[in-house]
Amino acid sequence: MIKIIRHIWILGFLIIMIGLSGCAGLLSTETVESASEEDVILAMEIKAKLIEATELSAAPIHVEASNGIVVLSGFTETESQRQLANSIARKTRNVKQVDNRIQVK
Amino acid sequence: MTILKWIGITFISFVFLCVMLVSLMNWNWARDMAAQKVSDLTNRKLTIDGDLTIKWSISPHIRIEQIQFENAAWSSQPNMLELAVLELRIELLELIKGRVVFPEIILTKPHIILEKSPEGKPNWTFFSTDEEPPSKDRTEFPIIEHLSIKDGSLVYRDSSAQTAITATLATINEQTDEETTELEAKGEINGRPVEISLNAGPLIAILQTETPYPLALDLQAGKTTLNISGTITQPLEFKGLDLNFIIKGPNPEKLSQILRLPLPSLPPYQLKGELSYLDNTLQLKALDGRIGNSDIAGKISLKMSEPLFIDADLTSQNVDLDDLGPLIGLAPDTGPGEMASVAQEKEAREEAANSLVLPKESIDFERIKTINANIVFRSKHVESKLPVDDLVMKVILDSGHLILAPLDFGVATGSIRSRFELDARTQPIESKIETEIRHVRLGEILHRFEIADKSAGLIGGQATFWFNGDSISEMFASADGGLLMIMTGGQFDDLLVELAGIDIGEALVALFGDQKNDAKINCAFVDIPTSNGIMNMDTLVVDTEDTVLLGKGSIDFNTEQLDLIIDPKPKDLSLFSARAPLHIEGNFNEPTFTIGKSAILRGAASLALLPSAPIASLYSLLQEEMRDGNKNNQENIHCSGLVDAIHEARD
Repeated sequence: MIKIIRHIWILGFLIIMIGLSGCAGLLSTETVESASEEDVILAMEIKAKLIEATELSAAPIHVEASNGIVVLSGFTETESQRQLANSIARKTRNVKQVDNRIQVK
Repeated sequence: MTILKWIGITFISFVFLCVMLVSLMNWNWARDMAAQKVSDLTNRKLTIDGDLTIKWSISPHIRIEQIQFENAAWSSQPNMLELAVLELRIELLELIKGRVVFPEIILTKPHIILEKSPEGKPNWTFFSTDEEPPSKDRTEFPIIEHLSIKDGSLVYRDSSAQTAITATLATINEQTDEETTELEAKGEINGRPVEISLNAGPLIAILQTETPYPLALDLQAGKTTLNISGTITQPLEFKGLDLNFIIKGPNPEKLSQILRLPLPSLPPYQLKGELSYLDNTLQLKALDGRIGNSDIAGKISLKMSEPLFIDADLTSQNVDLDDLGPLIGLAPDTGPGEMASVAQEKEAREEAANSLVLPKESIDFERIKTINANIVFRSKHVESKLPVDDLVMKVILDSGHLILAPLDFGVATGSIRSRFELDARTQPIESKIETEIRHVRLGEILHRFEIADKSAGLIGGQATFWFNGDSISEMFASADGGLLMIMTGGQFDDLLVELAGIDIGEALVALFGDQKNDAKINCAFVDIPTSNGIMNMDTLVVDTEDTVLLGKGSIDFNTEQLDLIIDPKPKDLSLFSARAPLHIEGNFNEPTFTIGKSAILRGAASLALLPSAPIASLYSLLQEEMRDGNKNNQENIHCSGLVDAIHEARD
């Protein structure tokens, strides 16, 4: 008996959850704006290359991609590091354009 | 006529002889003449009220009583020098040869006042600045073979520097050939009360430059005591020092004012060593002592240039990082077994009462502008909240520009290497830190928090932050930069406890269901770019056996508020029922944990969207650096497993 009640409860919870997330999905603009799988992977790929570059520190650099257009933001110590981040991003496969918003400290 | 002439000569001679004899008995005319001469020379009145008597011999004994020498016009005291009796002997034979030799000088009850006017003009210069002293030629100093002082007193006053010292001065002559000078002084130097007791060799030996001059000095200023003993070969030149010192006190900073040296604020200390002085440089060698709970050894040299230059090479067997807290405006821990001064204990209590976590007090960067330094410090063991083993640090300070590089901590088989730079010349102060964490076992850190060491979580990462501000709180509130970290192993529940410091059993049920043993972390990755004191946690991935936890949110150092969501994505969808997101929000001190409230982060949990490439790029920081240069690949097996799984999901 208890088991059945519990199952009903869980079922109800699931329905509510699905309902809520469905509604959230409909109302939220986030889902519309959220980057495609390709863009997410592309941004991560660039971040990885920045980490591997010993001449700069990748931690303060933020990478975002949208339809192959890459936005770099954050900070570097020098102008040459800023340029380096830019060229690393540009050389990455499937990158159409780089918008370099990195600030030099 | 000739007879008359002779009678005349005899008579005159007789009169002259009579006058001579009378004069021999009363030499006060000479006294007055000498007084007049000194008065003319110095523009100050020298009066001798007592008698001048001479006992004739080959070295005549001269005794003058009640000598007073007028003080500078601006002083409130009429006399600069009062002397009850001056007795001296002079070698006539040497005088004929042109040398002034006093076999003995005795001063009875000399009372000397040395003072500086509020404008800083000393009373011991007798010529106004535009008037040149009459002769610049160095006359040969008269030789004094023996100088004794009975019941002397000395007053030194400098009202512009809040300094006033009264001293008694006497020469003790217990054995005839072993004469010592004793000075007992009391007063204040630069507004700080001091007591000085000096026991030194014969006064006159100060002038001898070949024989080492012995001295023993005890100085007490508040709760600080300093003992110095040894010899000085050229006391007047302050050269050829061979001295040992012991110093003990509650905080070196308290001496800054007295010594006019920029000394750091540190917990109670005790230090001994050798002291010497050469080329304007004070050298402290063979140092051995304790500061708070830390021990210290090595050498320090202080070059008395403008600004002061400190060159130090120090080592420590065990250093308590806590002891360095006062340097950045933090009170040291004051629990049992911890050493802290009363003022620091008070500060610690105030700190505890403050609800904000980061210290708001401005760090006194003015001081570092007054020092240039090159300091190397190595410690075999470091006492701190983290299980740090050793520390290697080099401090370079050049006109307000501070560089700490390296600033390397060894942590078991791993290391935390940093470089810190701070420019005190800018307003607000700019600083920067770069850190690399390699192969650090989190398990050992958790162990310090008395959490059962169930796991051996291993972390690696890198961070760079730029700050603007004068206090820790301001610096964090202005932070720009970022942090990348990767972890393998460890328990997620332990991690949360470590981060939040509270029991979050309920939250764990939400994240992992009832089976908490699923909280074992295979691989975790976090990327936190930071701008203007707000850490935007873009990506947090924690991969456990059956769940991938995703995190997102912000940590705001301006308001010291957290707003984080941790969202569990079961790998097997049938487990979905028991999992709900966890929302952590509120003040750093007391964050609240709300379950299930927040939104789901990324549509569906897709392994394919996890950051495989950045994780792979950080692998190397999980690897132990082997001596032979090879890297141990065992450590990142779980992270590479995750990366493989992500790649598989993408195909």
